[in-house]
Amino acid sequence: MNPLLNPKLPEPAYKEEFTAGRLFTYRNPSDLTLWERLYVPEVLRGLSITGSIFFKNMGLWLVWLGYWARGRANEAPRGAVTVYYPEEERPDMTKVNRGKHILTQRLNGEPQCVACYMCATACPAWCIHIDAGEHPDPAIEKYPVRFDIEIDKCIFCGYCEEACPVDAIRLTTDYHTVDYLRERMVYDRDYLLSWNPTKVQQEHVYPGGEPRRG
Amino acid sequence: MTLDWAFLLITAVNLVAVIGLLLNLGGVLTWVERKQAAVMANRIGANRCYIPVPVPAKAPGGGWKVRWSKRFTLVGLFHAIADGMKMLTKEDYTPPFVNRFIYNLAPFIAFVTVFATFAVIPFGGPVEPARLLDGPLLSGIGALDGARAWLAGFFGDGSGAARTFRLQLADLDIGVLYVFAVSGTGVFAAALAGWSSNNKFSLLGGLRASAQMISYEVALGLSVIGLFLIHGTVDLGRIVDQQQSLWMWGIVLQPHMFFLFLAANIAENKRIPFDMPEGESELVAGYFTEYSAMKMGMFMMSEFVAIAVIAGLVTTLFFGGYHVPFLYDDGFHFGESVVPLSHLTVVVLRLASFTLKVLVLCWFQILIRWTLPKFRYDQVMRLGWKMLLPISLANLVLTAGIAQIVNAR
Repeated sequence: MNPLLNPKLPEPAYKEEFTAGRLFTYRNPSDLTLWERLYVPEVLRGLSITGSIFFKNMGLWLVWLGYWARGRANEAPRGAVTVYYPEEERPDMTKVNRGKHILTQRLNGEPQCVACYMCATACPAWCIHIDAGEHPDPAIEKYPVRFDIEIDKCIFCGYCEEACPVDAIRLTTDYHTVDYLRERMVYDRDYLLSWNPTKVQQEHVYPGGEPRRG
Repeated sequence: MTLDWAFLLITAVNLVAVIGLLLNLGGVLTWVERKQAAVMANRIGANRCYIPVPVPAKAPGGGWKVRWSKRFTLVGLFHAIADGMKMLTKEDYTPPFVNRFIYNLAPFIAFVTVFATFAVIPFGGPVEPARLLDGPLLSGIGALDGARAWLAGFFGDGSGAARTFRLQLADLDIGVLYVFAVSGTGVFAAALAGWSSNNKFSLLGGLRASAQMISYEVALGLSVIGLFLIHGTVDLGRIVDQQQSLWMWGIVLQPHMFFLFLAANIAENKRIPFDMPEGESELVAGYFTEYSAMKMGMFMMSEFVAIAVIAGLVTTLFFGGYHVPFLYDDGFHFGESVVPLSHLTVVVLRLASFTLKVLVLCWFQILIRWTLPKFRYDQVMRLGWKMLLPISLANLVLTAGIAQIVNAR
């Protein structure tokens, strides 16, 4: 038992008090029992744990073969907790997962965005680029002529979503942002307005709470 | 003096068998390592590599067309081939200011010493080629008479008596000493690679490899001397001959030395939990940091082949080599009752027995590698000098005393 961790010993007020007058040598005595320090039995115990997982999964593989032979491979019990990613996706993805951005629209199809630069200012990765234009409607004042998100630089923190005063930018749960070309990973205004999330979200969940409306 | 053509033929067959077995096993073990790690960790593992297979598919406008299926992955076995292709075709970059001769020599030393170790390991029982085609089934086939006569003539000793050959590349009297000598030479690969690479990490890796090798070579040798005392020889062929009975297997005679020998061997092979020289978390890749392409591949390959060689060595010393329990040269003996078997069956059974034992021990080593965490460097040294060495010395004294008492009776 480590004397430093022993609750019966009085707690030293200062380290100097504890070490005063003698050479302090730091010791880290092992709190293993003799049986554990023999090493081999504990190694064998560890090997039996990993080995049993191995054989359990190989058994499940045999079960899968049986299901597969009857053409019902999808119904077989799975040993693996991982999935074949591009073909399969995890069914238990959370609703507040932050993924690709989407720009919301007004009823007439114009962007909700008023080009206030709040999101671009809040962005820690500096990946949002906005050029503002003057909107004919004086009540709206401004609209984004250009609204680019460099999705390869985005860190999906969701600050833009929280900063937005008019609920114009949202993070969907869609996380398929990979591409072979960097040029294609800059999403412009029209794409952000028009792309369809693969799963239509009935209710959008805001991690930071509901935004102010109106 | 005439050339012994029969001996040359048998040696050539042995050579092809050993090199083929080891090279392929080394390649397959890279896949086994990944896949077994995945299965042990509830993952799926390597399964992306495929060979495109043409399958007929319905064309959209009616009729049929050829579609290239990506489903033929063979549970990821092609990853070994893909790795080999990648390493053969990558740029072989030699960093500046290296000692080019030694830098290029090191991977070859690593590769050659590992393969040379297997030369003295008997991987099959004694074969009498003249009797290969005898047996209850094959004797009746008249078409084989010609082949049988040729075998008897070619493998006879001229006076009509049949010769027996060992399935062993080199039947050396010094046996295990050769193994220790050659595998001890393997440390030069790590030390030279580390020294010549002009890199601090490589140098540290090479130094650690040397220190670790010296520490564990002692325990490695001493841990099996007890077995040599019992068997009275260091010739691996003789040792296997004496393990005919299950009670003479090394695992029964000296079970505690099995753990020591395996631990020392894994330390020699520089694998986790003894991967100080490689030390991924502190030394990049240790002594082969500066190697690229197939030279790096040769280091990796020699490591995986060494798994198989260690498995072969442990099988030979501790698990009865090629012997199947109760199987003698003429068939199974269960007490008084005998199940006679033909010579060919016995030879095949023994080859299969050796291969199975080697595969199981390879599996066991990989199980160890993915179960145990890495040692600290002082723990490695303490284990080598303060535990393995005294235990093997004590075992040596004890075994010598018991052997003396048993022999005196």
